Amino acid sequence: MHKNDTRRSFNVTELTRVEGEGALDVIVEGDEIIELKFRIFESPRFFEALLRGRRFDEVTDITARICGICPVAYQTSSANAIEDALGIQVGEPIRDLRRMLYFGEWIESHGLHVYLLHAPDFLGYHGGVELAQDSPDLVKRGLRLKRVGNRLMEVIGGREIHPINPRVGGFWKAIAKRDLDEMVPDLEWALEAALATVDWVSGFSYPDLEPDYEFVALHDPDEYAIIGGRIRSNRGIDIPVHEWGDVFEEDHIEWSNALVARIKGRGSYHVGPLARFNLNFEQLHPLARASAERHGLTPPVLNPFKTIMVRSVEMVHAAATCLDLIGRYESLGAPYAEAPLRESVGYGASEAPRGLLYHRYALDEEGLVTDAQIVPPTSQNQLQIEADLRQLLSGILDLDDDTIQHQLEQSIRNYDPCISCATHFLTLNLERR
Amino acid sequence: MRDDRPLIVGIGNPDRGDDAIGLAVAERLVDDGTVLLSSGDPTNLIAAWEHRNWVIIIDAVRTHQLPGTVTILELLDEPILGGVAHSSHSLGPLEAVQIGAALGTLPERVTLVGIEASSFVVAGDMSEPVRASIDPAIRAVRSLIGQASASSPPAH
Repeated sequence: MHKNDTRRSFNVTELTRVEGEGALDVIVEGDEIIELKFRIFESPRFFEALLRGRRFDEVTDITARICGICPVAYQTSSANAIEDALGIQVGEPIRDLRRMLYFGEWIESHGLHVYLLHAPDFLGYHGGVELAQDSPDLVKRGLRLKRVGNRLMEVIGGREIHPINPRVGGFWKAIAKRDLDEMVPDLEWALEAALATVDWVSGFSYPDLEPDYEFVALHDPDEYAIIGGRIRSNRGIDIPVHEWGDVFEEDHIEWSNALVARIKGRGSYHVGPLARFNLNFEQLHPLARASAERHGLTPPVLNPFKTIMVRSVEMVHAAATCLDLIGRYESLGAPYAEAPLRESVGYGASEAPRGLLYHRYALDEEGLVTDAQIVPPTSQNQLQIEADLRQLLSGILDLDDDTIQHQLEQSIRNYDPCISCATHFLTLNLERR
Repeated sequence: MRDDRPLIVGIGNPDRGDDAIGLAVAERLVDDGTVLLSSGDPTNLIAAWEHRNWVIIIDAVRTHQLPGTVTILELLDEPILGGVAHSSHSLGPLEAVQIGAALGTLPERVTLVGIEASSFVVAGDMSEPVRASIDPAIRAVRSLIGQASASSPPAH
């Protein structure tokens, strides 16, 4: 960090507690932000290229390896797209299992982020280690929540990292009701722990920031959308998934080798827990909705720092809904559905822990992938993250450099950006002139 | 009750060049202890080692040595600072060790077998110097286990 009369420079070589690698470069001259670039390193489109020429039924296994934190998201969006291409319809029991598997991933991912990555920001700690030293019982609760999520993924998915049971059309192996019933005590504990988490984080002090967001998320009138739905926004977008390319576009920006997505003619938008909460509040499980309302958390929630509250509410929703789904679950008949191969294009989306995840695949008549498009949430949030940083920075330029740097990092962590999904260490360089 | 056999943890991403080295070494040690392969979040390790006396962590590291160099650190004897070893994970194994220490769940001995990496390119193969370090790293782990067995009091 450097400072003289007119120019201040910040150089943070590792932005921690962010999954992946990237950098933020900021140049400030006096009271003016000269440059702000959120950069993502690496080759974002490798997996799209890798998929070309592979069989349709390999896609879910290959895309699961894009991310160690959210493999179910990639499996679900890709399965949705392939099923759309082949005209495969799946029944309610398979949908229920998919939702439970996905909720396991939400609990695992949100539990990690809330307790070990994000909460330390609000409590004045450098990271989860200090929180564990001062409040070991809190961290134990967070880790146990995470383990419940992992266990659910293992029971349904076959293993907790890169599940092997999901496939196009459903699952390779049917899950017995007794296996799910064994999860009930853990999920009942997780529900109580998630409710306690909402109470805990609601006591945090939140910086003032309320950007004018366009929120985009999947919407399903009958459930808090996670494995499918229509794409909606708070400014009029209401389209089936296959029209994604009519409304959104991806392009390169010179400072990032990830593609960034924008709404055609409008620009940045916001995907993730805040978007889901604001667009789908009525579809939350009643226990989750009540936990939010108890702390005055009702739509519209515009403060991005409050995503930690929303993630906690979503853990309540996930645990409560899983308990309901297990209660009504009856063993699958056929564990998966099939359809004849055909030359076709299919579109699929789901709500990854970090937001909307869109996939498109073109197949030839032998079921080989001829083209693939994968648009992860972090690519969609990249422009919005930059916009948030500009707005935040313009209001805190009178603060000392260390405080500014910390708040910028915290603002990026609001999005829990999974940069390894978009393309993997974040470097922050802030320079004042 | 703690388990006396070492828990051997291989950490890495099989699709990220030299980051795969921890997995590649651990996979060949299944007859030497309980092997756990970790490709995702290292906080999963905190539960895995809770009832163990000794965990051996095998991972790619960046310590400004020649690629393939095998470094052995007894982490509880060292000042455990972020930056001693970097890997491509959201929370590194060292943070997992630190959290385990704070929670009082850490084994009595935590050994890091680090292999100096040079490339983490997506879908890249391991570099030749790192691939050539697999056998030396395996020998290093077996030597550690052999020394521990030799120094243990005989069973009655």
